[in-house]
Amino acid sequence: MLVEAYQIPVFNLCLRMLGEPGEAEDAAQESFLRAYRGLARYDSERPFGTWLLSIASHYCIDQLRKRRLQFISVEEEMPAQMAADPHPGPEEALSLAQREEALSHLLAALAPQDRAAIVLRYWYDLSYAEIAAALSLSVPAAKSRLHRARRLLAERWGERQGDRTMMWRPTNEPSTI
Amino acid sequence: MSHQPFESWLFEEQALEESEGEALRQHLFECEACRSLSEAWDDLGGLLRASGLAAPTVGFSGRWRARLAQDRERRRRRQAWWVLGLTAGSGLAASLALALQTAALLRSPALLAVRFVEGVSAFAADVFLLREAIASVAESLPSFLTSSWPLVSLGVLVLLGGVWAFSIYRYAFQGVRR
Repeated sequence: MLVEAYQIPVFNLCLRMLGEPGEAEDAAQESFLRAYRGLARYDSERPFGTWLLSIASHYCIDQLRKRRLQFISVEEEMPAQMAADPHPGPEEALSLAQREEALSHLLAALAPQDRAAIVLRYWYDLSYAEIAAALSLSVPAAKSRLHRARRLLAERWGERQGDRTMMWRPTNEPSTI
Repeated sequence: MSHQPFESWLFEEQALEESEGEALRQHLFECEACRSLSEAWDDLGGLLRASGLAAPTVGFSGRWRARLAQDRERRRRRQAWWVLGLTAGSGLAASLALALQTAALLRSPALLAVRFVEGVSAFAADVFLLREAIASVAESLPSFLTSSWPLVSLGVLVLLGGVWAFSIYRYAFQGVRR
């Protein structure tokens, strides 16, 4: 069954886009429903997985836009949340799980379409052309979004690493804060 | 200090010419801002590529089947209400139009009588014309068809009635089933 075969890629996309497992499950289920209703419109020359991911991406982008209308912008909250982490471990001991969580926070800082472009590129290894097709963009627009997203992610990641370095400085050294 | 095109090279993931690579290395050596970005992206890019696919909790496809059944039922109900509402609305509109016309006629019994006679005459004329038309068509048909004409007419009427009833049933109750 198609749902069995594609549940992990679709759920993963929704989770990376929305950041919360409950919402991701709901979005993945809705994406499969939309795909089921739209099967007649599926172009068999296009890979089925990419088509399915495109449906899920569009649905998640819509959800994020709706969410933005309801809540304060996540980007405004991000630095405060990170800086206020009360129990940071040593930088060297930062586990993969923590880095995954950090990654999830970083992704939340991106605009919905930029986030979708990053997820499709790094989790599904789609080409620029496939990303452009999945997000209904031109190829240059997809490249531009990826470039902007990578730069923002690198900036935020650098800031985060810098903050942690300062916060975890041993107490016998003079603090710069 | 200009950071272009070095910054673009850092984030475009395209293969650089040897001279471009050398220029980028030289720029990173001199520019702390670009060096920080490059190091951060190297670190983060590795993390992105190493990050696996998250799986849903067990029973995802079963929950989806249940949701599909709910969705079908909801759409079926909506479609049934829509078709039945449209039919009832059309019937109501036709009844209202008829009632208004009847009310206007009832205000003047003489006019009602005249309209009645006119209606009966027109109906009789239509029946006569139809009979003539059918007779002329029947004359041109082979004899075996002419003898079974009433039976054929009845069959066509029954068939059309059946198609109409099935269409209403299909659109009202089975429209969303594949």
